[in-house]
Amino acid sequence: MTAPARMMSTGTLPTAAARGRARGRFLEGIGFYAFVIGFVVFCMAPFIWTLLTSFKGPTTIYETPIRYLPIPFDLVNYRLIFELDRFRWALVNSVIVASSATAISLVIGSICAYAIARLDFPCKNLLLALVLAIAMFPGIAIIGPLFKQFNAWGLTNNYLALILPNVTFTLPICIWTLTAFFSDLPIELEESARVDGCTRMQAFYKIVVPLAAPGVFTAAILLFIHAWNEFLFARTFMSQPNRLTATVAIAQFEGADIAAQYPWGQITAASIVITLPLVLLVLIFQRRIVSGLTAGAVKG
Amino acid sequence: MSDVLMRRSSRRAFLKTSLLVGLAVPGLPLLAACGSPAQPAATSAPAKPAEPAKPAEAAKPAESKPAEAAKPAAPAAQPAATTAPAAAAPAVKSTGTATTVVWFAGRDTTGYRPKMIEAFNKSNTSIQIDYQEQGATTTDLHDKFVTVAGAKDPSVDIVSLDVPFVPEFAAAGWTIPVDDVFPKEEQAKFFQGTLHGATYEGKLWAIPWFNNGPGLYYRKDLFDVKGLKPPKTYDELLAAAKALQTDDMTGFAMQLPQNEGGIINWIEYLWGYGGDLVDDKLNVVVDQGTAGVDGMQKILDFVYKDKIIPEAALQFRLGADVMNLFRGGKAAMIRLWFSNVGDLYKDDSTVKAGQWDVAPLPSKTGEKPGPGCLGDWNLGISKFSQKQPAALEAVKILTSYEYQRTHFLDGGFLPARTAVFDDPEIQKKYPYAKQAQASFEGLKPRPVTPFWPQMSADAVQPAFGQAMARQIPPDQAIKQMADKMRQILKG
Amino acid sequence: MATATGRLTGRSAVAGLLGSRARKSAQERADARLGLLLATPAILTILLIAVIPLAGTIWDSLFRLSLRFENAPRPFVGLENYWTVLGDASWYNALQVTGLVAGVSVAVELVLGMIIALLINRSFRGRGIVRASVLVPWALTTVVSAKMWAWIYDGRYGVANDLLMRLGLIDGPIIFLVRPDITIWAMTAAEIWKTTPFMALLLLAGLQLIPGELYEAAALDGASRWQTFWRVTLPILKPTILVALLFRTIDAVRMFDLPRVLTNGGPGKSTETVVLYTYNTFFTSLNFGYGSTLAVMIFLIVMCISFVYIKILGAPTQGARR
Repeated sequence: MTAPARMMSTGTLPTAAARGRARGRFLEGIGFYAFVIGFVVFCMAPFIWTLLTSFKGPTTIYETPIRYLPIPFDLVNYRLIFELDRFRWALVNSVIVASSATAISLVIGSICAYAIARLDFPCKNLLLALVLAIAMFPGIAIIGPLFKQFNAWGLTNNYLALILPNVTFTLPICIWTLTAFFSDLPIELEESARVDGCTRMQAFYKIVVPLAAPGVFTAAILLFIHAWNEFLFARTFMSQPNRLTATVAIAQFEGADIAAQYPWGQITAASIVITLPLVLLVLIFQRRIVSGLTAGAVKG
Repeated sequence: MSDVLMRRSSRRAFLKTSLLVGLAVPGLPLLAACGSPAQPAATSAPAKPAEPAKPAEAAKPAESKPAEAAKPAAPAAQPAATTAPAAAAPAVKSTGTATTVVWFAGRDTTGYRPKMIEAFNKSNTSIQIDYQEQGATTTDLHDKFVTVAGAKDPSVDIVSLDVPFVPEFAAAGWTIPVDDVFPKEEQAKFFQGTLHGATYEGKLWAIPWFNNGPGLYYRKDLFDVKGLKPPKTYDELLAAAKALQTDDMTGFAMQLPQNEGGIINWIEYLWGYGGDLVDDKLNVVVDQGTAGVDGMQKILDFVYKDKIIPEAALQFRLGADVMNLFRGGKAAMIRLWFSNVGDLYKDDSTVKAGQWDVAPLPSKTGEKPGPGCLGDWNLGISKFSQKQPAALEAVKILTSYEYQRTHFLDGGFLPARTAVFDDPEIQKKYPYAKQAQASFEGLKPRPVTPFWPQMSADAVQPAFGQAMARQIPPDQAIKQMADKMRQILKG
Repeated sequence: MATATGRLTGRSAVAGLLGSRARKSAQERADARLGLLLATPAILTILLIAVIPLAGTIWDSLFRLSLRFENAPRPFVGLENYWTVLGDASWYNALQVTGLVAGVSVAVELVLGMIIALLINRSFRGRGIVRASVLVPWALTTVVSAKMWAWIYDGRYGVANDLLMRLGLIDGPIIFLVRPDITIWAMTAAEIWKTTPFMALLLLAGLQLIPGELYEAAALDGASRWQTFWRVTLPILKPTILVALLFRTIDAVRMFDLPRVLTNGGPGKSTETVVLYTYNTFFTSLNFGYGSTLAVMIFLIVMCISFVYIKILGAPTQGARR
């Protein structure tokens, strides 16, 4: 079928555009670029508006008629949110939970993906069905029993109480993406290694994983974003204010200690801070992300 | 093949390093995570060098922060002297290791609470409080306690209880009665209304902590100029609002969103017209007589016909939204909780002392003030706590005279104990205290039943919201509300 | 490694499971063992964290389990809760809300996404920027997105009102999140904003798999653009479209963060989705038995939708690749 490698490069594609006259093409070009700009604005506008708002001081935000540009430029909102203990903790907690979940999920998922890609074993279809089912799972169906389970295991307010569900629910993405990547590696490399005397696992470790490194990397980014954005479990399982993750902290930003008003300035500033890592990840690794997402989906 | 091998080795090196880095980052806290959960919120966040403008606070305890960050911590610039309840306050000192009790509390916007906790922990060496604010809204606190108590988990000891929570959690068997530690002589020192709200099936399930009721804040200076007196009836309210309303300043404002705060405003009008939601036997009576419809219609008229309340009031989900209007000089009168008064003492308030005052709520006829809704907060003990004796001790101290006094003086939180109002310092600082005291005698609770939260969320709030948005007429809203309430009460 | 007897029983067991082959080589059996071993951590995690709690939920749903009164009886009632759901007006309201939002948003996203994908399916300068900005809405936390939109929709300081008024489309500000007839569409718009770009991306990937020769052949045959799209592009794109639809529909049905943060189900119950209704049943009504039932119902609905889509798609092609 298809090779993700082909999709990862941005080579020119066969254009379907009719080869019209130069002038027609020019107009079309203008229209096209107008559309492209419009589309980019559509995607980025709410985010940009949030960014602009975050730089406004308390009087400027509530000015009517609305002042679009943040003049005077004010960093007070950022200063205020970073003075909040629970916000700083929220960022730290998000990093801990998301990166741990990503790492664990990668380990578990990659070996499972290899098994699916290369090996025949009993219950394989059951496993695939299970993985599919997990991707469809509504989290609300298990928060109650899972909460009780975690408390019984003594994991109250423990990071593991968030890490484990995140691992579970990111496994499908991990397995699908990595299975696609592993499948597309030429089998000859492994076979020749095994002819040379490596066991399956040695071949996996020495050949498959390094070659699939881009795929692993892509999967890592996808998993991280998914875990970072998780809300339902984070909200339910943690009661210590300094254990909340960033998503919960921002949902609960109403009435921050500092200003007893609906603190739009701080909410927007917090939104930007929480989103910035993701946006940066996305901007830097967009090619990988796109190929990873589409490899999983198109093959699925 | 050889270049594949070449690529393989460099890739392997890359992979190894990134895996190591990747695992190291979460690895350390993972080890920590396997241990016990983190301790009191008093610890600062770990130092993050990249943070802008954050003082190096790695080692400093939390106490320095409220002083800077909270700016004028609630009413005026009181020096920290009065923060620590005087040595006269009951304190528990002993040798031996301290018991730490966890307190699930609601969000405090004054910045005062952390200081109070600090003072407590300093003067009570055998009991330490781990103060944990749960979420931003009362609902967050409620849901959090439901989660923990529903799982019979011992991780909370003291829980702040909004008055509707008391019967709810008592019926569910998640709190313990406190009659044993709260003798009748002590009870007599509290406002009876608050005790009524903390009673369920003949027992007391929480100790009232701070009181709260509504008042009509008004711009005394503007009233004096026009020679007006604070309104006693709804008609007078309308007249005063119309007289004072300008382009820049609305005549009147209150909370009208689809939440508990919003429906309380309507319930007060329901009572003001002589009606009620349920009777003593918990029969639904809101659809009897016209009080419900009249009350709703009056509010709708204020918003849409007379236009003395801005339509934006339908979005005022927090009391602070209304207070900001008033203290920014954009409203001549507001109906709001006494607990929001602290904001008027902050530096950034355009309306200063002497320009405003508080009056009792108006009613239909004006003979008596309109009944205000009881909004006090109590402290209860979780049934699944493993430190109940220590928790009870802590609660007794927190609700003692001294603590309630400083809670009011420095935090602006009205006391549940009547004697505090007689304190001369209090009277000097808060001239409106007299008004508050008078109105507190007449506060009414919402229906005291474990079903109330569900009745509120499923029956009253949706109907109210639809009526306010003019999607359905008031009489249909009342009927809908009544039917659903009956359905819920059936269980 | 295995004993002689073990190998015999193992062999027949394996042959029985895998059917066709009569004899298996030692290597294949070792492979099978390894495969199981490698898959075990994943299986265990899923079992422990998802399947067992789900079983707990299903079990709870068979009881009348209300936490409201400590001493209330908690009898086993079998399928009675499920029967109640079928007669529950609030459930149907939630279904309607969810169906409306999911249906409209998925449909709009498909059309918009298709248009966008078609138009971007060529190389041009700035493609990277477009691709990156496409991912921003997707990468954003839903909670953050909801807060952003709440700010945009604000009745007094919201940009939406400001722009609409400047464009002369409305006279006075609309309080978006308070008008029951408007709120649900405001929420849908926020949802569409967040996920259309992702849909466009998936469709774009599918488009890129279509070999250029097909287009050239169609052009040679004199096909118009529309005909080319309809007869060439769309049929080849069908699997991609179905997969994208599948994921989007499932996500839309499970919507929780957005309604909870943006509107909390209001005004009235006009934006209460099924998951939000379930959540409120747990935490406000304290009815854990009924809430569990609702949760299971949602799960079943999601399963059904998946089966339908997969049937149309054909079996998943994620088989062993050699």
